[in-house]
Amino acid sequence: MAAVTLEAAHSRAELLHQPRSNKLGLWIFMASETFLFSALISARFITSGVQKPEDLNQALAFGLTCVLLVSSISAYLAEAFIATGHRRAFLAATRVTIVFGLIFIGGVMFEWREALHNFPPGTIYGTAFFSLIGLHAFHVLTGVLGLAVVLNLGALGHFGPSNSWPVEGVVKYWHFVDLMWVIIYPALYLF
Amino acid sequence: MRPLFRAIKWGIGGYLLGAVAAWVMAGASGPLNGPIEVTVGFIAGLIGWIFGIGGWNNWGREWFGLPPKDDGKDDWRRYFRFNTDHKVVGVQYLVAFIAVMGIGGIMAMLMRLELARAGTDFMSEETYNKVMSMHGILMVAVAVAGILGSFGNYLIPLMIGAQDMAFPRLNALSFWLIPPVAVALLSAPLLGSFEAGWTAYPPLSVLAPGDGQLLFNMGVIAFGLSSILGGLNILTTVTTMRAPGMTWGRLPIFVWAGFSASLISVLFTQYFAATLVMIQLDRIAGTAFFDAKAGGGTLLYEHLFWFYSHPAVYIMVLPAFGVSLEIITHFSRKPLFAYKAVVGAFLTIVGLSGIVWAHHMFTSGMANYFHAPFMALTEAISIPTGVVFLAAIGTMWKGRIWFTAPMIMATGWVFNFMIGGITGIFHADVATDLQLHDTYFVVAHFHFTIIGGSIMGLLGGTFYWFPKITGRMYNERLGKIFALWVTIGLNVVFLPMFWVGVNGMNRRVAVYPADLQRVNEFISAAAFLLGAGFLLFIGNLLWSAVKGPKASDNPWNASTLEWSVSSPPPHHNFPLLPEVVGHPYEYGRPGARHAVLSTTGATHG
Amino acid sequence: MADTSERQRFDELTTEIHGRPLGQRLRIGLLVMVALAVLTLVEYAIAVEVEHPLLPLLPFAALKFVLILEYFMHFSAVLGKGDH
Ligand code: HEM
Ligand SMILES: [Cu+2]
Repeated sequence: MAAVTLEAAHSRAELLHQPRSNKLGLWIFMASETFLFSALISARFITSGVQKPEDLNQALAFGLTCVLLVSSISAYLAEAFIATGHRRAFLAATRVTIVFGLIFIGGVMFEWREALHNFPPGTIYGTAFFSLIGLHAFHVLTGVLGLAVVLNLGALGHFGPSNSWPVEGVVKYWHFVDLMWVIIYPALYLF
Repeated sequence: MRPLFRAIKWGIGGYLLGAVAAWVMAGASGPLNGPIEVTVGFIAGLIGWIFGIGGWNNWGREWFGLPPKDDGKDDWRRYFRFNTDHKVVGVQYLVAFIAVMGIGGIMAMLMRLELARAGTDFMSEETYNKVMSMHGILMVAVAVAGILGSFGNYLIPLMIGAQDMAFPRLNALSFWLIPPVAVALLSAPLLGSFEAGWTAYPPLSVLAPGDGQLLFNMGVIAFGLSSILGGLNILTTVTTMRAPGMTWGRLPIFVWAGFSASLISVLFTQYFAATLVMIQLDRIAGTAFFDAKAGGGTLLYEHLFWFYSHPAVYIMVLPAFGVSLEIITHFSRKPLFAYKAVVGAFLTIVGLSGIVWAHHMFTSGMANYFHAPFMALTEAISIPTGVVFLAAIGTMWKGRIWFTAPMIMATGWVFNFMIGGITGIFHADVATDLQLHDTYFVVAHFHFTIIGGSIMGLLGGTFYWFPKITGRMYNERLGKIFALWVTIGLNVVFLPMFWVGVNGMNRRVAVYPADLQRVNEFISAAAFLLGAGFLLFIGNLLWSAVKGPKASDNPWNASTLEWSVSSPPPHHNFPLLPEVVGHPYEYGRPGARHAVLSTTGATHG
Repeated sequence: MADTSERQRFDELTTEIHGRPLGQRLRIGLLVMVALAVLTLVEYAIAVEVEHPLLPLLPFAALKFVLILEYFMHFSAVLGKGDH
């Protein structure tokens, strides 16, 4: 009898605090990551101010920004769909997000091949460019992995309106990566 | 022990796989332990280790829709595996960091042996640099994570009336990130060691021939990840897991201290990670962050580094403030004096700590107009710190003081940390700092603050909570001798260092002016005695943990929640959530209660 | 195990814009996306026209930042849920 009470109490406590904890934990993590990005962004301004080379591929960068924007609306839809119980639509939206994430990474790789030639890492702009884009692309990659995990689990029948936290969490992270791009993009290409 | 062996296997396997893959990608021509190979190898090895020790069973399986596997049985082997019980993690941290402190201590002894004579005797200057760097980073790690990792994990859930941390698995992860860090740092000599000190200033850290610097960078980044995750866990736990009635205003002061320190570690640690990434990139990818020819510069490093590392000194001492105030309150049998002001002081310190970093850079060539504001801001920190001292003294004032070993440590903390703090003002003052920077005055200052401020908290807390953690009592007489030994010994060793510093002895050098030799002989002799004293500590604890008399649940008659459960506490701490009804330190107020523990009845949401 | 009211509370905590119908969510999402797209275009146009447009671009970046934070990441839900 006592053992039952104990287990029940434990799981009940968990049920009540875990959603709040998960959410808060993710926000704290994102705040921490913001500091990491801010360190490299300030390094860009401290070392090279707003200077930028002539041969930046502006069209490609603008295109990548749009790719990321589309992927974040599809991520938003994925979250909305699973929270309202539309599993098929959720799976489709997640797939679209992953594809756009991969396009983004492909675009970065293409851009790097030019950039290595035009302003290699040994130049001061190249230093800022490769470190910041690299950091950001790494976050995109982890976001894609996270999306792949929830896609797989969703296809296996997990998640639903009352149990959508993992999706919500991954999608928030995805938006966070986009959020960083909102600063990185002008910092490297426009200012 | 199976998971541990699996982790070692996967870790080594990962390292080899990563290194070979990088080697092949780089053209399969250079040596297998080149910079890129080591970097990729370490990352892959770290992942392998984490998956082996429990990452796969706890997360990996879940990602693929498989049920997670549980921890296994509750015998002694739980300390050697990925265990999610916060009490196990706390003990793991405590033991691991006392061991690290031992290794760092041996380095200190070697350094003092060399410094006993003015010339170079048995170490070259380069070797001295390497030993000093190793000592520095190991001890900094102890000070940063020693208290938060051990008592933070063990006690915060107990003190707030929770059954575990908010993220038990993450908690286990943050501990198991530590062994690869230790391996990276301690195996750095295989690759030529690192010699730029714990601060890893470029250009030396970029240009030094030893690739051990790469392992330093990677190891410390992993360590940073561990403290970020640990801090995240503490912040979340304190916010969401407090028992019913445990309002923010009723939190024990140690919880507040851990919370404040976690705020710093979650945010600022990223800056150390970022600077080390930059050094790593400069070394392996040819970037130009710190290459003045290409337009980079070392001032960038100093700014970013100290933007972390000044706040980091408060990660080191804030938890110790908490421990010492706990001890002082319970052993003075009086309510904590000015509780609210102390909490305010902690949070003010967190805020101020982020805007004073450039006081480390008065001689760096940074623009002069930075000097005055950073001097003023730095000196402003003495106000909240003074509040903490006042609270400590005000609590003891007319209290009924019970001088146990932890209480001696805590009062010694007041005295020694005060010396550290006051000498800090000489560094914050631009005029004096221009003379004192990079001399032994600095060495003396930060040892008074770190040993006097942080390590004494760790030692005092170890005595104070020893009966709770082990269920046995340590030897009080030996404990008292040790507490006095450290409190006094610290002064004997480090006070003369102020003097040699003022008289022209530079820090981080094996050779110094010959006329300072007599004083240095004295310092070395005293240091050996101080170091030997730690054998007393280890011996006492080891013997008492096995053979000591059984401790009652509440040997100190203390009022906070951790003392209301058995020693050691049961698996889920509290069978049912306690209900908190009052302030934690109501000593001497008739009828006052901190919490009601029910063994039956309803739970509260 | 947990009774129904706790279950309900759990549900509420799990999804922050819980109860908001799908249609409304889609509308918000699309509106925000259009706004972001327009802002980005204007940013780009300014950058083409102006030499080193640091100051004129800052408000745009800030606005995009806030839009994403609020409408995609539901930031204010964190502040609002601070019971206890
Ligand atoms: C008996 C104990 C100790 C002795 C005798 C000792 C001695 C020394 C000496 C001689 C140095 C080298 C200074 C130089 O050459 O510039 C040093 C550096 C240092 N020590 Fe200790 N130490 C002790 C304990 C500790 C502890 C417990 C900590 C931290 C928790 C610590 C942290 C440091 C740090 C951070 C440095 C600076 C390294 C650097 O600047 O790169 N030490 N210590
Ligand atoms: Cu400082």
